[in-house]
This record gives sequence, C-alpha cells and structure tokens, in this order.
Amino acid sequence: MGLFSAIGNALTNRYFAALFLVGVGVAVGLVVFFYAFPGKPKIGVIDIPFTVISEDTTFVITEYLSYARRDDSIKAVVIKLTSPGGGAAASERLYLETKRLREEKPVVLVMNGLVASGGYMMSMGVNHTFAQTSSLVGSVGVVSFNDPLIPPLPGESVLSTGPYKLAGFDRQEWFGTVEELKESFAHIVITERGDKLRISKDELTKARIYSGLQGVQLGLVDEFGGDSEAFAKAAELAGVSNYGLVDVNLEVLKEFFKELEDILGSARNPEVSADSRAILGPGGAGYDPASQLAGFEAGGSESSFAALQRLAMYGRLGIEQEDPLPDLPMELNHPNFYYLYVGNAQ
Amino acid sequence: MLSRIAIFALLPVAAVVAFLVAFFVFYRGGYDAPAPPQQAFSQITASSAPSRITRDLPPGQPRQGLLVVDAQHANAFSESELVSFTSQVAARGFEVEFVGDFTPIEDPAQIQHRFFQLSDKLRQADSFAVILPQVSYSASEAALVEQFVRKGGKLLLVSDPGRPQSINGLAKRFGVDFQADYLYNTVDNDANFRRIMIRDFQPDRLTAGLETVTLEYAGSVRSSGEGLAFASPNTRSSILDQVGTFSTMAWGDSRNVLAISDFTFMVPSNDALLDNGRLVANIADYLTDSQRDFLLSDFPHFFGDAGDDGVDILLGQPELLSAGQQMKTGLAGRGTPSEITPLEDLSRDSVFLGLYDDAPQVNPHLQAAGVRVDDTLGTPFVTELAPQGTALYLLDRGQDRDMLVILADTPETLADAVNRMLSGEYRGDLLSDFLGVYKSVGAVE
Repeated sequence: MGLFSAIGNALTNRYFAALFLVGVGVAVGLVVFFYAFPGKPKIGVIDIPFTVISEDTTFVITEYLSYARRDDSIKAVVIKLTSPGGGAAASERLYLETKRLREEKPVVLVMNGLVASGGYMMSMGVNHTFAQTSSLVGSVGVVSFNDPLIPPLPGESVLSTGPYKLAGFDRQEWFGTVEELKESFAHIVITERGDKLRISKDELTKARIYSGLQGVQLGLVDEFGGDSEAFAKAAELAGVSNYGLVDVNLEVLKEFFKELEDILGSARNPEVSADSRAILGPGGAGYDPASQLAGFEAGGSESSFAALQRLAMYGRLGIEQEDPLPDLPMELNHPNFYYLYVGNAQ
Repeated sequence: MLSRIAIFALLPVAAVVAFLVAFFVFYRGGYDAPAPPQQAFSQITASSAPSRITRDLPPGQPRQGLLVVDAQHANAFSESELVSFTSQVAARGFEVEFVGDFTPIEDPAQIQHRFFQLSDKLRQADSFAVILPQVSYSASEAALVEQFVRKGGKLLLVSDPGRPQSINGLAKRFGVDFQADYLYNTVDNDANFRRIMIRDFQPDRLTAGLETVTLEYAGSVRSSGEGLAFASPNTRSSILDQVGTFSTMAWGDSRNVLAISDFTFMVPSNDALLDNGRLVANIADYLTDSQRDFLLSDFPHFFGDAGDDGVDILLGQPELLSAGQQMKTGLAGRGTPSEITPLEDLSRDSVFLGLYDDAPQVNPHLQAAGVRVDDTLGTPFVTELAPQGTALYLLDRGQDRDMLVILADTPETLADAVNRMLSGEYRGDLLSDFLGVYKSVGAVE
C-alpha cells in the first residue's frame, strides 16, 4: 500500500492519468531532444590577437579552426582577428581552412584594429565580416625579396643539374611570379566579395589600407560592428538562439595539455630509451623532455614553455632548425613571398 | 470523456510537442552553406610578361677619348652593374676610368685629396658620368664639374629612387632636379607596377631607334632643359598619386648635360630588355662625341691626340737641355712620352722651351696669341711687363697640332717655370685659357 497504491488509485482517475502521461511525454521529449542536441547550442570564439601569419602561427590557428569544425556542439564560429598578414602560402592556407569551416558552419569575423593583406585574405573565407570605423583593412598585394640586380654566381665547387636548380627562377620570372600571386589574391577577393565589392580591380590591387569606414563603403567589409554584432550574426546564420559561447583557444589549449601529459608521461618513464628520447625531442640524443618539464614545473621560463609547446604541437617536425644540413656549405634561403602589410618601410 | 486510447496517445504527443518546443527555443532554422565561388586560378597569368627582345645594336663611330666615372662619393653601384654601359663606351674607342674606389671619405685631408684627384681626372676627361653618389658634391667639386662642362665636356647624371643617393646638389647647378618620387603604372607596365614602359621619345640622336624602353624603378626628373623620354600618360608619381607627364630623361641647361632618373635599365640583364640596350648604346654615342676644349690649365692632357706617338721637346738653345730633360721626365710621369729633338716636325705636338731671346723661333705662335716680346713683355691681358724674373706660358691649339711654349728671361727662371708647370702651380699664373705669366721673386713690378 502506501505511495504506489495511492498512485494506482489516482491513475484510475482518467483526468489525472492524462495529466501524468502529458508530464511523462514532456519529460521524454526533452530527454530525447537533449540527447539528440546535447547542451545549449554554442558559438565558438576564436581570438587571434595581433598575429603575423607564419608557418608556426598558421599551425596553431588551423588547430583552432579544426577544433571548431570537429565539435558538433559548436553551431557557428566568430573569429576575432588582428593581423597584418604574413607569409603568402601560410595566409592562403588560412583562407582555405576558414573556407572549409564555412562549408560546415557559419563563420563571422570581426576585424579588430588591423586586418591587412594575408589577414584580409583569411577573412575572405568567412560568411560575414564586421569592422569598426577605426579598423584598418585591405592591402591586397604581395611583398617579395630577391637577389640584387646581378645575383652572386655559384662557386666552382657547386654542382647543380640545371641553370635554375639553385635559385629556382631568374629575375624576370620572379617579377612574373609576384604578379601572378597578386592576381591570385585579387581573384580571391573579387570572387568572394562578388557584387558587394564597389571598387575596381585596378584600385584594389594598389594595395591601399582603408579605414573600416571606407572598407564598408567600398564593400571590402560587410558591416560595422564588434563582438556583440558578430555573435548575433553568427547565431542568425546558424539559426540558433539562447546559445552559449565556447572559447576555442582555451579548448585547444586543454587538448594541448592533455597531449603534453601523454608525451611527458612517456618521457618520465625511465625505461624510455635514449633513442626514443632522440625521436621525441628536437635537439637530438641529448634532448631531455623530462628536464624541460621539471624546469617548467619549477616556474620555468617562457622559453621552456615554448619548447614544450612546440614539442606537443609539432612533434619533431616543423621546428626551427638552426643547422639542418651541417654538411651543406651554403645558406638556405626560404621562399619569400609575403601577403604582408609592413607600414612605411624604412 | 477521454477514451483510454486518447489518454495514452497524450504521451507521444506531449513528447513530440516538448521536443519541438525545445527545438524552437534553441534552433530556429538550419545553416545552408553558401555556394563556393567559382575561382578560375588556372586562368591567371602575369598580366604582361616582360619581353626579352634585344634589337641589334648599332656600331659606334670609333673615337679617342676618356670617360671618367665617379666612384669617389660612395656611389651606390658596382662596376659589374655598369659593364654593359662601359663596354659600349669602350667599343667606341674611349677609355673608361673610375675615379675613387666607392668608399666614403670623411677625413678632411682625404676630402682635399679627393678634390685634387677629381680635378686631375677632369683635366684628362672628355666625358664624366656621375651615377648615384651617396655623398654630396662639395661646392668646390661641383665648381670643377661646372668648369668641365663649360669647356665642352659631356656630363651624365644618373639617379634612381631605388637606391640611396645625394645627387641633386650637383644636378641643380645644371638646371636638373631629380624628384623624390618613383613612377608607377598599374595598367601599362612590364610585369610590375614599378616597371614602367617608356614609348614617348623626343626626336633626337639619343632617342634614335627607340620604340619601347622599360625602367624598373624610375623617378621623374624636372629640368630647365628639354625632356627626352616621357612615361605613358596614365603613369603616376608616388608623391602625387595623379597622372601627369613625367620625364625620365632630359637635357640639363645645355646639351652637354644629360639627366636620367633610372639606373636599372643599363644593368645586365635589364639592358637586354626591349630597347634598353639601344638606349645604352645611344648614351655611349653621346658621351664619346664630346667636343671638349682642352686648355692650358689641362696640361699635359691637351696633348691627348698625341696618343702613343708622343710629344717633341724643342729647345731654344742647347744650354737649356736640363730644362728639357726635366720636362721629358715630367711628361713621362704623366703618361705622355716625349723626345728632345733638334728639328721641328710640323705634324707633331710640341713643347718649346726657350729664353725670351729665342722668341723669334716661335713668333707665329706668339703673334697668334697677341703676345709681343722685346724690351718689355706685352700681352692682351696685362700692361707692359719688364721681362726680368718672368716666364711666359702659351698654348697654341692649332688644327693639326698643339704647341706649348715656355719662355723665360734666364735658364733659372725657365727651370722654375717648368717646375711650376709640372707641379700644377702654374695654374695660379694663368691670364687666360691659353696664356700665363710667371713672376718670380726677382720680377720687376
């Protein structure tokens, strides 16, 4: 008897039974809903404070974009960007990664301060852009560096298999290549902005920096606004409301620490052989990740943290190599095409 | 009354309604990704690939002379960059000499040396090229160059906005002002907005045969002289950002001064583009066609035509042999071979050393200069002079030969005068471009 018999008696009352079943139905509906759509919908926020786009920074930003794409609870993404651009290939990769994210989720970008050149190229991969009137945007163009008019000749001790094996191209072709990159950049802007663009290609490729006010007027930017407007626009594009925000930078950092723990767990293991350490570490057989960790845990310097960060995020590839080919009696020169705003060159 | 079936149907209905309500609270729609833009990267090519055509270069007229290239003012180029230009000049028979070693000079004593070095070179030169000096010309150096141009020497001034230079101090003396800009053209260019095409040429020997010249990083030049080459009408200046008529090559205040606001066109391999090589050849023609006058102050370079044949030294009397040997040694030290000879060869450049008593031997030369030697010394420039303690320098530049005459009152004064000639002190004694009088301490005023 007791409670169960009281419920049984109550259910014999049809109205009470109907009320009970409605309550159960609502509960079941909500359970199914939250099972299907766990938590509140979220807008992922990627904060990119003043960043020069390089191989390293592109790696990190790509991690942010990748995380936002993978996390199903993130329904839209807001990128807060300040960048003068950087390496041409790295900038274009960020554009492509952003565009790939846009194919799955709406992406809104807030141009804070300066979004120029390669930074502006990245912004072409999003659905919607905001800038403040005082933002600086644009600089659609290329900066490159090459040998002087008469390049140094290779010495007689250098043997190569073709006239362009060492330098890659001559001065005339270099001009052509730079021009092609400019055309490619302009093509991206023109095709992405479409009818919104109210500036000629000739004017665009003068690589001016525009204020946010001019940027909106010329169709280089969609709207005036800041973070709040960006969140609202992202929610509108994703069709969500009552959303929460998720700090993508923080989530990626958490993942990084987890990976770091995994790596250092093996590094602490005394059974890890010197060979394994050499494989793990960037500095050859003498490198000791455990001592790096000890230094960091003891209030280590920024450099030890940076070393750990590189270790965790890059593995042993892509790390700056001081003397990558000790037997090579020549200096390696990186390709040097930049989508970069450098300000008044001195 | 609620049927049993209806009551049980309430459960799924309520579940569906709750689901939908929750859905619409959080989701009001879906996201349709925009169609990716059609991007045809494969169709992108450089707007105007630079042409590599080099037209046949005209052979130059063989001439003798000397082009001096300034390297005293930390000039912002290397000899290897100038090889196309200098080889064109050399192909026309001219010698090319660099004055200085491209290093900046700060020590005042060295600056003075630099002046004398320049002065000496300009005495020999037919043409002078000043390319991208990073150190300004001093007032005295600029005056030397002005004097050189006044004598008919050709002066080439080259600036370039892509390299550090300080040329305007000198250029302004010739009515030339290189602007602090660079020219650009975003429409009609040679694979880069800063590589402008020049197609508008003023008819002239310097622009003969030119159709298109490409300048990699040119500025504009303003001049009191006539412009020779102009950028396309849609070319802009970096400091104005507006279209205009910009000259990149112009005469200075005379046809002896040529100003060009780009250096890169003459540097290999740019010299092989379009008509750039032809322009270099034309400039070489211009510089090797100097009609420069050599004056008494240019001793011994007015004997330049003598070449390897050398100069005859004639003595008024045998007792003056030591003065003749002194002169012979001095000329040899300056690269001019000479012979002391008793017989005058009217086809050869000569130096005559004698006393006033020997004046009749050179009377035609004295008369041509308006000089009279008897009890007194008469010239068109000073009142009668007592000949005691004096010496006379005279350069007679004939059509076929040059004759330098040095006369004095005594062998000792003659030796002094020859010494002054060789040391350059004689320039303080000059009364005109071709005549001078040395007054020793013992001279009678």
